[in-house]
Amino acid sequence: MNDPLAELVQRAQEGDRVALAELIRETQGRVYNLAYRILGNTQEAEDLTQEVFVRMWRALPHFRGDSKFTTWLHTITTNACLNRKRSLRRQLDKQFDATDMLEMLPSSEKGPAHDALIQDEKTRLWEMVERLPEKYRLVLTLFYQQQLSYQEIAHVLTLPLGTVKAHLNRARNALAASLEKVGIR
Amino acid sequence: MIHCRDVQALLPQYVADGQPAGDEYAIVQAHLHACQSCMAVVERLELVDAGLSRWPMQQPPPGLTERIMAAIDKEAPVEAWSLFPRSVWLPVLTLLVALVLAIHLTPSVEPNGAALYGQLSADPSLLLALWIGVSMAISGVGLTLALVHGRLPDEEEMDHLRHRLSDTAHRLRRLAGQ
Repeated sequence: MNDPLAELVQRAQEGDRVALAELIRETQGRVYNLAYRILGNTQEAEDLTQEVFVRMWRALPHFRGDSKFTTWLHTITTNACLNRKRSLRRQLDKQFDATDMLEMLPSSEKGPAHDALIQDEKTRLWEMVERLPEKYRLVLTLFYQQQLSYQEIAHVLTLPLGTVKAHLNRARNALAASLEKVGIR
Repeated sequence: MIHCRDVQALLPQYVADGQPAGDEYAIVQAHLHACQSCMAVVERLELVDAGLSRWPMQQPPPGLTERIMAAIDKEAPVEAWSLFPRSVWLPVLTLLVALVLAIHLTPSVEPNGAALYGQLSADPSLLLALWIGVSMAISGVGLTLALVHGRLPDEEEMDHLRHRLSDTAHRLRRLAGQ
């Protein structure tokens, strides 16, 4: 397997702190963006990114390179995000007795799409993505933003390859249908 | 004759894969030449695909790497003990101490001439009571210390423990194979 990070990983496994810092610098953007996309809040995303890398460091001696380093890191990130989201949901349920409060978090803050795009059809597309069910948002993020292959997504989410493709296709169809509804094309 | 509904079920993959070759897709292509409504779906899907492909990446906050490294440094001393968290080793250690003392107090190791041991060996029920008392007291102290200063291993530590055990098993299997 040709992993561009393999050398850094090996040096970090041997205890090289400079390599570890470099490995973190190289991959923190992916972790932060995935966490932000799932949790919808910059502070939560930063806290979780920190937690993910501490977990990664603890487990690093046991990483044998069976998959690409980033695929392994995505697995840790996705699990940590979904755990955090479940725990946030429980806290919110306790505090407000409202199960849909967490779903409101992404729209409570202007996201990367809002920062980067003006109010046109692309912005509408991001808003439509935000409204998709979590499982669809997750595969879209992994495929389009994190640029993982179908196979890698299946590995990260421990889903059959067919299910990953089906989720992606349903998400694309849902978005295309939403574009039609708002009169685009 | 293929229906629009069947074609449209294939279109997301057709667009995402860049209109690949194949019998199934050749039928789709032929249908698209003749069907404006399916072609409109393709255009919307292309718009979705192009939009999502330019998914912006947000810059992580400045200084994040340094904060992560600091968090790792703070964790470092825990690593050495994480195979046996305090909540595990402290009660085990005190139970071992209790066991050693209990064995030491049995008549077989009675020192000659000691009045207390003489009395104990003469009265087995007193010896048993003392044995139970000392063991329970020491175990109690150990458990209290574990509860006050220790904690149950959290999910991460259990994960780490599992990793270590599976790694050890893997190495043993490799050694056995050699």
